[in-house]
Amino acid sequence: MFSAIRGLLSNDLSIDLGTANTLIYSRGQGIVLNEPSVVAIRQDRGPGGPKSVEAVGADAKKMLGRTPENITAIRPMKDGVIADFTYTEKMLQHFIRKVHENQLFRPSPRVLICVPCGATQVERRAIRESAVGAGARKVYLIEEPMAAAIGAGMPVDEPQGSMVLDIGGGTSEVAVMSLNGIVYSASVRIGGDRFDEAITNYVRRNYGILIGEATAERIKVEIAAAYPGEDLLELEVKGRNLSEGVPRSFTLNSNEILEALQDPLYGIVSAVKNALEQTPPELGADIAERGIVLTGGGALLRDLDRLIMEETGLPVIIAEDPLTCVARGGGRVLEMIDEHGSDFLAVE
Amino acid sequence: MSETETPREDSGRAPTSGPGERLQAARIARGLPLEELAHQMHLSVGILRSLEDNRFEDITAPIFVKGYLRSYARIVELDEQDILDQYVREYMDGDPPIGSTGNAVAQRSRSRGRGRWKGLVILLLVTLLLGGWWFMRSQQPSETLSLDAASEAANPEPAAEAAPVPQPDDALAGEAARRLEALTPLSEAPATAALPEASTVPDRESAADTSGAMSAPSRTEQAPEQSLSAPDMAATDDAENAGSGAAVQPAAQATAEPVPEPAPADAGNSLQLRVTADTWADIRDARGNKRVYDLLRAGRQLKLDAEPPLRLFFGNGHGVELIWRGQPIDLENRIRADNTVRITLE
Repeated sequence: MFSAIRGLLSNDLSIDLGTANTLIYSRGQGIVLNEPSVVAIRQDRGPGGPKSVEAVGADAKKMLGRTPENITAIRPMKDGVIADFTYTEKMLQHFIRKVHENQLFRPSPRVLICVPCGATQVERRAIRESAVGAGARKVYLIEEPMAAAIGAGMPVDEPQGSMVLDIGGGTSEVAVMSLNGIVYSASVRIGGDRFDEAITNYVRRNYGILIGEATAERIKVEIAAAYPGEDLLELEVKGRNLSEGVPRSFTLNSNEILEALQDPLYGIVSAVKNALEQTPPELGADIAERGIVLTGGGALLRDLDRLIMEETGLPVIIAEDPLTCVARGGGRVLEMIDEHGSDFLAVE
Repeated sequence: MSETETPREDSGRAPTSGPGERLQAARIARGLPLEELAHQMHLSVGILRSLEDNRFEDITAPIFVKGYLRSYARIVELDEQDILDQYVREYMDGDPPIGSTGNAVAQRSRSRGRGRWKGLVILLLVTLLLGGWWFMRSQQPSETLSLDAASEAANPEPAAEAAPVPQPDDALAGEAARRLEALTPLSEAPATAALPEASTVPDRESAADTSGAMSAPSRTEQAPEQSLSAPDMAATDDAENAGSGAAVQPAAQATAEPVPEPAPADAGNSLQLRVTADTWADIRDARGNKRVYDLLRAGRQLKLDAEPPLRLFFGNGHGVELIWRGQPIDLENRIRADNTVRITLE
């Protein structure tokens, strides 16, 4: 009874608990939070001492790779699932409080969380439990590609095949949907993080220079492309020369990064090709006519649509505002649950 | 080349008439046949025709229209955003740019919003009802009280009079009777004493006989003593059901003397109780002290001076008569189904 009253005072939330970023969509308000999934932990008095949360989100991300001994900045999500249960819970708690900042009572919202379709039962339960631990009154789970497709505005309720490719920080999900259900789905553990890693490895191998995570991400955002383009972009970066042991600056161009990204990109392309192979022919025909929709932060990689289009021979469309598609789609589903029941929801 | 024929007619019109025409014009300007474009975009010629003719409803969802327009614009090197803005402005109604799913969702979200308000309104109503009920409940006793107060205010004299008139206190009656006896002259005493002596105290007579005092004077000497004691006894015996014989009138007179003293106090907070049938009684004063907490037998009478509010409970509502500040209180309509009565006097 009391929680129901508190529930009236809390907004229903749809959370895209991603490896790289956590987005929260609040009903009636839109996207209310978009922060990196990073938690900074302070542990004073040596190992075994009491741990406390130092910072969460953007503040914690600034600390990544720049922390003293007593602070550790960690990313509690890995490959789209929970790697550190306690800190995921702390992070969720922090975010849920943050979007209910102006309220007197402890928030007790209904929460819809997106899970990768490849997540195991244990991983799903861990996500559910952490949301409950963070104060959620009720937790719904939905598979990420379904949320992404709804968020992108694809007509998933029609008897027509729709294919979505959601490239997140930790995983890429490809799914074929029809009549509000998933016909085929697959998840590969390749995402933005793998791109960063590939860039770091490339630079170390070819330049003998070590760069940090943040620098690798900057290179990706600024000059990386998935398909050879006409214009060549260049960027000057700094890293530690491994043989000399001192920081050095050097220049990278987009063609080099394209080369660096070959492996992860082809991992994604082959996942899409696999999906097309597995799709029933009628739905495959629909997809061939209308195309594949790209969502997620990975869709922002320059010319990725072109790469997939050339590789598959199908039209490829980048959704509007691809970063927030999953959270927005989750929000829509949350609105539909009351009227429609839980057609879309994933089972644990 | 047939493709280039038709567009030329179209492009003869205003080139800014729609995103489709603008794209088509740009394509023709570049000399790009529709088939070639369809091959580049991996789309069917039919879809591209729909785009160029601004028949966007032929394409299932706006997201696809936008995607196609964007890649078309990129190929013919037009400003993607400009084309998209024009499409959104002219061919999409309302802010939510989503097709069937989106519209349904928008409606549902609205109705859900209403549901939420409904919940709050219901909550508010329930609170108000509960509050009202509580208010009514707390109001009820004070209403009867104000009635009492009103009747008291209306005739304050009867209240003062009423105090001594109804059942005179038994103890007072006994006391008065004794004093009266004490005052009566000795000469009268034998006559009055003779009756009680003969009828009610036979053991004393026999005692007098055995004493062997046969002489009249000695008997008359003894008589006053007995006469003093006998009425005393009679008075105390009668005390339980005072009101018969000689005791009444003296009592009535006697009370006239002691009453004026306690009268002001009585008019304040006196509660009189007459029990006509056995009943359990629980009477508590303002401080919560149990003034009465007992089974009262029929015929019992009680008088209490207590600080209001007094909380009373009787197990047998039909067996009690109450007088509060001199006003009889009608219990009949307060008796519950189980025969009990609860009442608060203030």
